[in-house]
Amino acid sequence: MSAPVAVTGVGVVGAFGVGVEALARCLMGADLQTVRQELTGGSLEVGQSSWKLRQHWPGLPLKLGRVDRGAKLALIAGRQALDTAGMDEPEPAAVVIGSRFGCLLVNEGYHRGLLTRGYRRAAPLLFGYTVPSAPAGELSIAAGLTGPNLTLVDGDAAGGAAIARAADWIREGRVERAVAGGVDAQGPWLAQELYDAGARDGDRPLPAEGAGIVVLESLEGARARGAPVQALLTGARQGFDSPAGANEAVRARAPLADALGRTYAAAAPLVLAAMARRLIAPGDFRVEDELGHHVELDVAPAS
Amino acid sequence: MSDTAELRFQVKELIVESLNLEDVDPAEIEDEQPLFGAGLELDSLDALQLAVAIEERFGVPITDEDMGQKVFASVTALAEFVAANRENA
Repeated sequence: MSAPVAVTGVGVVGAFGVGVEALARCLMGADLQTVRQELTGGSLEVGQSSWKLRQHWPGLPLKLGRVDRGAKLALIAGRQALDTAGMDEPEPAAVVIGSRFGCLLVNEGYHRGLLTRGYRRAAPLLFGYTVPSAPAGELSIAAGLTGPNLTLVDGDAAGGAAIARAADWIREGRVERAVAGGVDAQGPWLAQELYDAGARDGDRPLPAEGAGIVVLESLEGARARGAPVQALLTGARQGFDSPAGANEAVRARAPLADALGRTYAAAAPLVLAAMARRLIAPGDFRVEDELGHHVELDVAPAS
Repeated sequence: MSDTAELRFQVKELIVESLNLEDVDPAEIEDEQPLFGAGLELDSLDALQLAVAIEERFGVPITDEDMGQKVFASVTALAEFVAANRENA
């Protein structure tokens, strides 16, 4: 990446709660909110906060608020990011969202219904969310963002990779602005999968859901419209390295990311958001997962 | 609460739960309020979902569009349909 890209909007939600102030309290030591999932063979505590979408998006039509949990997380964080960037009107901005688990929670619920109740009782409202692009699509629809729309499903690095891709589009002149980040939701089925894979109460970081979304734009464009430049993205790299051994957990992660729980694809965007709002010092950081996916973002303070 | 009133409330709770109306208090849905179009902003996809939920919860199938238009006219109509067909089952 050559020219730096400006971060002008930030939105966050997770087990720490909703908003940058909640994120700041968590980074200063406040407890995460958790939900205990009762599972086959045991139970597992996961990080999940309680909220109602339309309280965080005033005026959102009832119909647009009836989306799956992952899309709700994206909408809550997205609205904050747009508000802080001063983007109140529909415009041709891009939306790029990364996720590790995508629509697996919805798929499980939909197909469980098919298998246990038969095709006549398949849930039509769930069917629309059996695609991983639902969070990006719903955010685009709700905010009137008519630019290109992309979803990346690429392990824990996906959220950072989405930011890197959006920054490339801006640098290449494809779009003036982009709303980018990561989202991963939690639910009983995923908790069972994590439990079966060895996750147990007391593990840190505990599995948690979250969404981190930022608004990116060219530095010149941000200055021209008087947008608040909160940080500069000066570099982004992503890739895949074979892990040292099968199932070996790789733990080279971003500063303080684990304080928010293991937030999967939301991890890199949440750290970028914390840096942009100076909750932690801006700098270079890396997020990688046990599958070998990794992303590195270089963040500098706005001058 | 009478059996009829209790059933109407169960239907309202089912509407909120099955249609993911997280901001709607079941008690605020009026008995005679039209379920589709204005108000709750429900559409044909919601009708399918609600039909699935009604059959799942009460064991009463809604088998065609004409029947659906009648029973989904209001909470009262839907509750009366469920009560009559549960008794016939």
